[in-house]
Amino acid sequence: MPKLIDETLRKIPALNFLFAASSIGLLLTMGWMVYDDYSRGWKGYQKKFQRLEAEKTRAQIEAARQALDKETLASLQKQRDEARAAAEQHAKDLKEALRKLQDVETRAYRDDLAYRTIKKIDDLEAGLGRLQKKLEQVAPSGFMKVAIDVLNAPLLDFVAPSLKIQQVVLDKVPLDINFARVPRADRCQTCHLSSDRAGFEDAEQPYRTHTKLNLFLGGASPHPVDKFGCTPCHRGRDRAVDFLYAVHQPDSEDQKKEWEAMYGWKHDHYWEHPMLARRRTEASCLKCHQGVVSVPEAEHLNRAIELVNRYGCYACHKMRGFENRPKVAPPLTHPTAKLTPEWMARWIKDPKAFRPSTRMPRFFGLKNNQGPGDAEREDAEVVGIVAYLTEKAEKRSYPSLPGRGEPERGRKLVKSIGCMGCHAIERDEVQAEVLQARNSGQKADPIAWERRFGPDLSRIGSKARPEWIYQWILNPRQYNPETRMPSLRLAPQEALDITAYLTTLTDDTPDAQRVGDVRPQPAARDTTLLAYLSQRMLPRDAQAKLEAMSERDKDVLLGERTISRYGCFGCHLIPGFEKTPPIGTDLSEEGSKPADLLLFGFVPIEHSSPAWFFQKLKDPRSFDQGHVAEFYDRLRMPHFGFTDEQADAVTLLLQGLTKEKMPLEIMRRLSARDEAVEAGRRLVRDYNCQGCHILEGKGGAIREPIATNLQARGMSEEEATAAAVSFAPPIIDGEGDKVQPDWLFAFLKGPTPIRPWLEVRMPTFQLTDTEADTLVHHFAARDQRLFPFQTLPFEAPKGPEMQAAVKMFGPDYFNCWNCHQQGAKKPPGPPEGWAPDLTLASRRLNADWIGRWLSNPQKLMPGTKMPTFYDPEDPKGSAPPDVLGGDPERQIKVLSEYVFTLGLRRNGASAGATP
Amino acid sequence: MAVLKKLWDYTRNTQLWNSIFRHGPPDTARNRGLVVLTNVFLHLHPVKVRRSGIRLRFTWCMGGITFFLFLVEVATGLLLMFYYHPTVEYAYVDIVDLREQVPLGVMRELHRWGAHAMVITVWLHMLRVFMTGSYKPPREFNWNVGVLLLVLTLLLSFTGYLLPWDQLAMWAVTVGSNMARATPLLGHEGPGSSLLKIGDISLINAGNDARFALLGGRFVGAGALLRFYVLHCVGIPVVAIILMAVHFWRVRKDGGISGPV
Amino acid sequence: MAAAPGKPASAQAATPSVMTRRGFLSTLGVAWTAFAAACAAGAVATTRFMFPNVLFEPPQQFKAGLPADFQTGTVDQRYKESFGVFIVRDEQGIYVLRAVCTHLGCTPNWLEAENKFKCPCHGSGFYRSGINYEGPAPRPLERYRIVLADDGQILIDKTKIFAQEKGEWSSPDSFLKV
Repeated sequence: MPKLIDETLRKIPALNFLFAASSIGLLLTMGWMVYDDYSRGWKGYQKKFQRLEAEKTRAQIEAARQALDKETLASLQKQRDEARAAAEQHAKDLKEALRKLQDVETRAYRDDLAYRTIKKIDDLEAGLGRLQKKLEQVAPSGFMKVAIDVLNAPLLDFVAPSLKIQQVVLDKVPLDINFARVPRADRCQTCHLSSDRAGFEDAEQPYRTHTKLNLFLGGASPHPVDKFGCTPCHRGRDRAVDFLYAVHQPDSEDQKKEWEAMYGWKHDHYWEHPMLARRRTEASCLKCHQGVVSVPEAEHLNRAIELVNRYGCYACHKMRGFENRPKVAPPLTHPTAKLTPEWMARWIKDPKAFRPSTRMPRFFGLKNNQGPGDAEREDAEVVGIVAYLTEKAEKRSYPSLPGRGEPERGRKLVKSIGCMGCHAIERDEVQAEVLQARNSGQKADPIAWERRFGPDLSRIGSKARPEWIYQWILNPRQYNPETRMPSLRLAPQEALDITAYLTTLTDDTPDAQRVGDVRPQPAARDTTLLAYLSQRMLPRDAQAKLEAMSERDKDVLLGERTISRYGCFGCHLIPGFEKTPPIGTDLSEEGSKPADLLLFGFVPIEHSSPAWFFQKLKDPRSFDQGHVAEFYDRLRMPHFGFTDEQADAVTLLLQGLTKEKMPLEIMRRLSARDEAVEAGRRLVRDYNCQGCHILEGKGGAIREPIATNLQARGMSEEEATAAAVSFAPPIIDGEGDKVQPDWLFAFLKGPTPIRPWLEVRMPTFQLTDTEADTLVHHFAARDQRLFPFQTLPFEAPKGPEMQAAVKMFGPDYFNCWNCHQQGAKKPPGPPEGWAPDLTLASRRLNADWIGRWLSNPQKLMPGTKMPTFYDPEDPKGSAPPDVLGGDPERQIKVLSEYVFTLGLRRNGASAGATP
Repeated sequence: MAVLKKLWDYTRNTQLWNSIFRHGPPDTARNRGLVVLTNVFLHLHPVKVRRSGIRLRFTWCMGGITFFLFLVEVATGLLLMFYYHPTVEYAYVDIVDLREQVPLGVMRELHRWGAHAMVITVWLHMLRVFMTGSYKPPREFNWNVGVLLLVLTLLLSFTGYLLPWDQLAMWAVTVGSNMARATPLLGHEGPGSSLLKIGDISLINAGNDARFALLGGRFVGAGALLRFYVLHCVGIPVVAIILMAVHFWRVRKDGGISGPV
Repeated sequence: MAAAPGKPASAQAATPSVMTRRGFLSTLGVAWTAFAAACAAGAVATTRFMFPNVLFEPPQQFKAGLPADFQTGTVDQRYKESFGVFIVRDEQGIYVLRAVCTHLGCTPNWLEAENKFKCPCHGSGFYRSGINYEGPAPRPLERYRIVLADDGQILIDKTKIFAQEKGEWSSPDSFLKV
């Protein structure tokens, strides 16, 4: 064999060594690459889940075994007892003929019993078998275990792996990525394996069952997982199968710390749709549920919507879903008829100092105006605003009071006729310490939300002129045609009494805590005006112009500029600003704004949009901190004094206002009936019906003051609370089912007393026809009734049926007249036992409702004092036996015909007429 | 051992073996030369090189490494094409999926880092050629081919930059392609383009200039993505392969690797 | 040329003389083994790369609603486009036919008026039961597994196929008794 190479440039062994080293390096790198690609976090979660499921299945098997044992034992014992009993029976009387028969019967019975037991045991065994089969699947053993491990091995895991990425493709709910609409591929269930399966409610994350399985994920729920997935609501990166890449968001500081330690969590700014913090997930409801007053079961979101409506955020900021809403504050076209300039100045300077519960925010004396000269300038501005408002006000004054009122009578009226459904007098109702805690933000408002609809009346006497109060409560609309304050149809003397009472409610704040009178600051005023004027003209000209103006004109001009800068006209109607557009940022797509478009300044908070929203709501001017700016360039948003809970709710809403466009087929679409219901809900909210009535399970806030009132008359607390139900306005769920549309329309337009024992009055809201119609339609639609026309086909009972009806009506049986009024005739007994006039039935009630009411009143109105005459479990047994053959259905039919035609007979009209 | 030897000898005498390998083992200088000459993969390489040609300190092996990286890019790029749609809907999510779920999606990282490395090695290669004066005659033509190859490498990087279709890609390519506006005569903001007009009708405008041709539209959109994809995967590589063949050929013909001529 | 040490070496490897050298068993042996293993792993990995982990196809198992949603005596086509199945309900129960012709794999149409499945490609005809009776199709249409899920819905599993000619139609999972 010839020598291959005699001479080489390099040493061959060295080259071989190099070759070997690099080949080994290559092999190792290859192995590393494959392993790195193979080892994914989600596989660990799936393996852990298999163990969890195996554990659960074992527990189920154990439970099934025990059930089976118990069942077998119980059945054997039962059989023994049966046999023993039978034997005793036999022993007792042994008649030959009977014994044979009994033998057969017993055997037949025993066979039947045994069969049933065996069948039950069979079923249990079948269930056990299924569970064991399942256990084999989730926890394989022996050969299968090894086989499955091999099938999950690197590079082989494409054949039939048991660890797999779980994915739902959602082309109906696309995602906006870089200007294109991309189908989502939600892979959340790769780790959240049992999120759509019941039975894992208390498992640890990521395995926990969805907390609202009836609403989400479940096949029968309105949002099944194969159609809606997860990220359309929760957000986050749909395709991620890694904790961090999924852009999870912690729900609290503690969780954040925990995640930082466990996963190295940090804010991911590469994904524009980070997951919503758990407590704010409801923000997503808004993109499909639009144009509704509230979203079912979205408690936090609904709270936010209520807050925005009450506080009128939409007055300064354009917000989607809050278009065309009325202004939230009273018009300032003629304030001098109501207020004094001194009070106005003090109020503007710090509204909460006078009325801590007010929704009017504070504009002056805030953080970013604490520099030298700022206090004087702000005083000058307040004086200017008052000057502007009084200057432009329509001159109007009221005649002096026509007589004298009795404050004590007035107090009783205020407390009883219904004022307390919308207003509170917190000073009288709540202990001073509680109020103190509320004012400092430590406690929630002790007064019900519904009763914050109107202002707190604690210091009204120091605010409004008595002449104004008198005219206002007689007819609110003469002062403010837009007001939602209704008329309670007061007699002039009643109005005088109430006025006398309200004027006694004066400001009792100690002088030290009171906002002092605002003093004019001519020097500061002139500098400020000069700064304003110099923006548009040469300083020299500005100076000249200023010198030519009178003092009053300067005040008025500064007032105008200040109102214009702070946008007071967003909430108030102010002369001269009727057409000025609001000054706030458009918030309609605020939730889609990336955090880097928000100015965080030097405030040390997390750089995310929800954190910014929260901070802005809690302390709106804080982002000016550390900035040097002229006063007109500083932040202007006023301070509302939101609690953490309120600010968090509004943050949720803002996060929900995104620019996402959902396809119509996915959106919640309202049917005509739903539209009618929603339109009514809007009015119910705008007129605060739930201040007095309970509707859709909410409201009835007036019951509390009524109970207090009853206590003041000597009832114990328990008695008072119970009696308050009778003395409060009724629950009006089911009103559409109960009353005729015509009657309800007329009643809403001009209420007439139905329950004469009530002191509280249904107010006259001066609804327009459209509004009244909308409400009637709302009730009809909610109860699936026809609207607006229907026939009333009832005829009066005749002959024996008439006698039967009268008999049942009488004292022998139901004794209806004991409680119900009969026309003008009042029933005997105390007023809290009275019930409505039955002669009104033909005009008021739906005929078929009477029958249903009679058969089970508690079902229609839980807590009603109407007695249940027919036991719903056993109507036949509880029916009067000797009337109409004891047939409850016939009795009820006759009774309802009788009741319905009572009024018709009295009016001499023929039965069966349609009104 | 004897059996193995027998088998080996038998195999080497079959017609199949002889039809593939036309020559005996490379144990003589002649056979070794023939092996290289008659093998399609080896014939690009000269039969004999100068001793200085394989001195690492002199060549840095940068040309070879660049070619190797090019092969890596071709291989990984080919595989990536199986999982990538050049459409505005799917381009970005396909890239996300390479990270999240595609088996051995690490291919994308190889492709990307390989591309970065290739740009660096090309520059180092140029530097080395420049420092050793290897651009001088008779190699001046090959230097120019090399410059073209450098440009193609950079264009490959530029076109590949758009394909992930994220914000960085879109705006980087927007900025980059805006340079084409300033092309003399052919860019609508370039010198001389305002002269090309018939009456009031300007012949070069944003709707037909060099940038428009590059992007297939007035802005970076679906057309640009597809165009860049085709250029990145087919157009530029084909030209680069042709030029590389010329380049390697001329290395041999112009006096071998970088030695004194 | 550190990048291509394999080329001259491969020529060397072809010579029998190398095999006898001790060096082969030590350094060079290790080198070649590692290199070959790495290449093999690369080839396997590339093969693995061609098998995706996630599919954007309709799932192989799906819930098709409650048995009561299917009228007796009808061939239901509501899942034909999305999942490629006919759901047939007769007096006894429900079965699921795979909408793939057994001839060359086209999708047959259900012709209600003629009470038969007809393949548009080559004219194979099948009865409502799936049995072939005309045209080139060599065997009946296949059936998919059909069971009731826990929530009472029909669960169709396309991974399990029942062929009539193998006698699999008698399997309890190929037919849902109602």
